[in-house]
Amino acid sequence: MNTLRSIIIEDDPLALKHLEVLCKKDDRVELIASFGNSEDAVDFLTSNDIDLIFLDVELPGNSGLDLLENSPALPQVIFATANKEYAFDAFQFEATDFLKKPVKNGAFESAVAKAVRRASETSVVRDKPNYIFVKSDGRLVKIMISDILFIENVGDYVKVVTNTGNYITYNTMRAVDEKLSSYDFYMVHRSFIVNLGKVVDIEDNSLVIGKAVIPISRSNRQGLMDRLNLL
Amino acid sequence: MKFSFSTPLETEVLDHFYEGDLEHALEMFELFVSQIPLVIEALKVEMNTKNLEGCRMILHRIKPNFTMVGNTPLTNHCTKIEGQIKTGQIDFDTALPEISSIVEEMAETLKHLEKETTNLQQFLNK
Repeated sequence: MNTLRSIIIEDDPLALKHLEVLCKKDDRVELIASFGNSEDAVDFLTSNDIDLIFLDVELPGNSGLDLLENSPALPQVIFATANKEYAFDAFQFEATDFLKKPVKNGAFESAVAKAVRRASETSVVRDKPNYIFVKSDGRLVKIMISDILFIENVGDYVKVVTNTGNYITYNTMRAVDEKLSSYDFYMVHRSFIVNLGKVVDIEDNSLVIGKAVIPISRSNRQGLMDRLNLL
Repeated sequence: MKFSFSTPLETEVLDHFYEGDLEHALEMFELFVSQIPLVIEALKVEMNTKNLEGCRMILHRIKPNFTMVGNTPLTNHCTKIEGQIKTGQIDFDTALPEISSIVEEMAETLKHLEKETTNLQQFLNK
């Protein structure tokens, strides 16, 4: 059985420790990281594949509900909160379960069982999604892979250029290259990763996608040629 | 030899909550002992600045902790006051004596927990 790669978002040290211990005891759960606020968690979620979030609602800064509202396709979420009144929100956001703090062992085990069941039902879909999420302007934006034209390095950020708009996010070209390695993308220059399906013209040292002319570095040219569907 | 939680705490609640995992209980007790003095200070700051919402947020955050250390009535007290503040049933002047009373109860619970932590550490040879 695959474990559920999980994170906890909880600002109270005791509640956090308690959940960490429960996760550690449960071999269905692999605790990857814990966060005291939702902002740090959003940053983490942009570059890590996670199956399950244990989410407190009242947090310093943005609340757990803000996180859900601004991030349309999160992994499974189990609410862990001290107030029953949030149960309705949990239902609205299609949370996997709702745990009332302090979280009791039995309730935790039952919630994880639900998450395991749901994960097994969706495992085929999770194989290779045709979209990617990009954190831009404090929100997670869903971008269809097929809409991406190219990705450009801009200092400590990368700009994802699509048919419908551009999204600037804090990330490295190497991380983006790894993330897109299983799709039809290629790094033609240290500052550019292109969607090969969108290339319309190639010259010696450059290629054209839409109206953009993108340089091809000498060292990456042969690799590009190998990836192209040449006659 | 079996460890028994001391009587000032709700022993049944603790037995049920930790299900015999004393290492876990000790971990939580130690954290409680280290954190609650900070919480008390934070609560006093909010009280001194008459920040009722600040008080409410702290009460909300910490209220489950008292059940985890065998003081369910204090969890219930925090829940009641937090709810009254949230729904505007009490203003700062009415809430202040209640919050002061919670702070006193917290300090009292802290004393019990310091003793209980020592007992558990000795039992577990920590």
